[in-house]
Amino acid sequence: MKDKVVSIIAETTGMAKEDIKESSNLLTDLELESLDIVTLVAELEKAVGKEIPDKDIKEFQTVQDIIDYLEKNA
Amino acid sequence: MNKNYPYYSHEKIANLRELLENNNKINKDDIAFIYKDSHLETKSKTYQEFAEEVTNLSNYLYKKYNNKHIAIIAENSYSWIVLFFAIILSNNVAVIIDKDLEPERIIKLLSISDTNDIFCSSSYVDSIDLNKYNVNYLDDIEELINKGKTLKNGTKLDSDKPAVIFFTSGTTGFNKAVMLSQKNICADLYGASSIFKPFGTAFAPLPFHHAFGLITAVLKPVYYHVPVFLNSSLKRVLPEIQEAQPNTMFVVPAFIETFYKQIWNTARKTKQERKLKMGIKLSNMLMKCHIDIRKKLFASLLSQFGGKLEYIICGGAPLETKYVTWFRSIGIEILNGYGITECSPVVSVNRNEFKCDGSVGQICRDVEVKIIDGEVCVKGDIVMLGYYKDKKATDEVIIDGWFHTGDYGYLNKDGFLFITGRKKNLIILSNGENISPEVIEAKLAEDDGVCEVVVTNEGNRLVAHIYPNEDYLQNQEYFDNLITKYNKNVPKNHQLAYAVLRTTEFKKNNNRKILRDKIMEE
Repeated sequence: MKDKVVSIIAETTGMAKEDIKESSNLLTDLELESLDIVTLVAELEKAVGKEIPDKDIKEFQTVQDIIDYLEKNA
Repeated sequence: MNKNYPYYSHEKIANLRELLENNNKINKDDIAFIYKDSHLETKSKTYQEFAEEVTNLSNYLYKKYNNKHIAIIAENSYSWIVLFFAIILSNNVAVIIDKDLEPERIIKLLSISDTNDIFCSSSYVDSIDLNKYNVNYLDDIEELINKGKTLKNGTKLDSDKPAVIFFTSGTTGFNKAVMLSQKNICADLYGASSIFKPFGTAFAPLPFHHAFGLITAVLKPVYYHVPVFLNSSLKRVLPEIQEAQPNTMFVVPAFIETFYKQIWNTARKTKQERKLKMGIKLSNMLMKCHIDIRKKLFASLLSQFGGKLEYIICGGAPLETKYVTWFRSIGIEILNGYGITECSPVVSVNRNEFKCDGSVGQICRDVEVKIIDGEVCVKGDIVMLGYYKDKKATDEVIIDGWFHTGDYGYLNKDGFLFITGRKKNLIILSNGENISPEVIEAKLAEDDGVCEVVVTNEGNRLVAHIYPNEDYLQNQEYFDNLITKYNKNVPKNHQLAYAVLRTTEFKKNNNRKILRDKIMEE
């Protein structure tokens, strides 16, 4: 799941995969704006084939949070 | 090319009931709303269907509640809009609350607005203890509409009484309850619609708990009698824009910045970056000779926005002029406006054919703007009734009939309004000199190396806190030179002492506005 999430973040943001760590904070380390995060979630939905409710998005602070969420819910 | 020209003509209305009746008179079978149902299937409602559902629900609410404050705490939906109209048309007050606020804040807002009756979305409030409130679910609204079919609504509408309470979202974290009447809202619809007009479907992606997202992005299209597509989620903005094929879209600057970033990202990924840059150069050159081939040149890019997008109305926060010129180069006109919840909300907007880059447009019809000691002050029927149960705060901002916006600005000779800064951010140096930090920040932000900048007063010296763009991180020498260059062109009192570089962006509130108060704490 980690590789999948990192690939999607890299693809969506244009960042290098090696710059994306599990501990990276989406806002401060990866410098994503709130709308970037929403766009990222839309790509994650496509990749895992499952809807991520809007209300769950605010739980995503770090890359690890996304991995944990998808492992639990996907 | 731009010219001043007459107002667009619209019929004045006194209340939301007249809004429904007028649309039915124009053509009751025209589409009013396009939206996604819970299975993400596209649905639509005509003006007649919408008016009937509002009437039936207002019948039900009239029987159940009288002059009550009824909160709506839910995600955007068609039902949300029906409920909003029905609350007001049954002589109750709609209290609009952001569903994403933390539970304690929601409880606080319910308390300060004396609200005991709530309509909410089950998925959003499961973590809030609402036991002591009378809770209804938006999911059950169809049932209530049906119940209302056999009931009667005896409301005598008073357009001057409070109809809606919005909470302002200040950067200080303190919320004020803004009371607007139907007269306020109708004055805003008339005033703004007289200077801007869409020529096709409108797209509404902003949250309805903001006056801009609701009154401007949804009620105005209804007033214009054009269909409005209600975006189902921010996750689906681009696919739904492609489906809606809007002529006009209402957004805050964050959307434009994201679109811009995504366009360049895609261009890089598909190795079209150079081609896009060349295309923009060519387009700008031809436009100078009044040759417009933008629709052909950027056809595939424009198709990502549905292919018919002509206008983006932008408000809610300042937008850098570079975005306006860039989007114009590809064939989309960004019309910047200025509004404030207390003014229902629109004060000014650039016109379809009369605009000025860097300004927030022409003053809306029947609205007066006067600059008092540098501050933008507004008079007219758009000015709120006041803050709920807070006469002191109301009296501080409405003086002799003029609403003091707290924003500094000026009007140019053609009547365009320019906003230069927030009053509460004003820096007063010990020599009595007043400095608006936003003016300096705007100047510094023009530099390629600056991503974000905030100017503060530290020991009577002006300091620029800069979050550099990626290629300039930790390049202190570059920014020292930038400060020297800036200082050469400004009076002594406006000169900066030095630049402090940051490695992280500034803390922001939910609306992505920088929390200036937090800078010195970091």
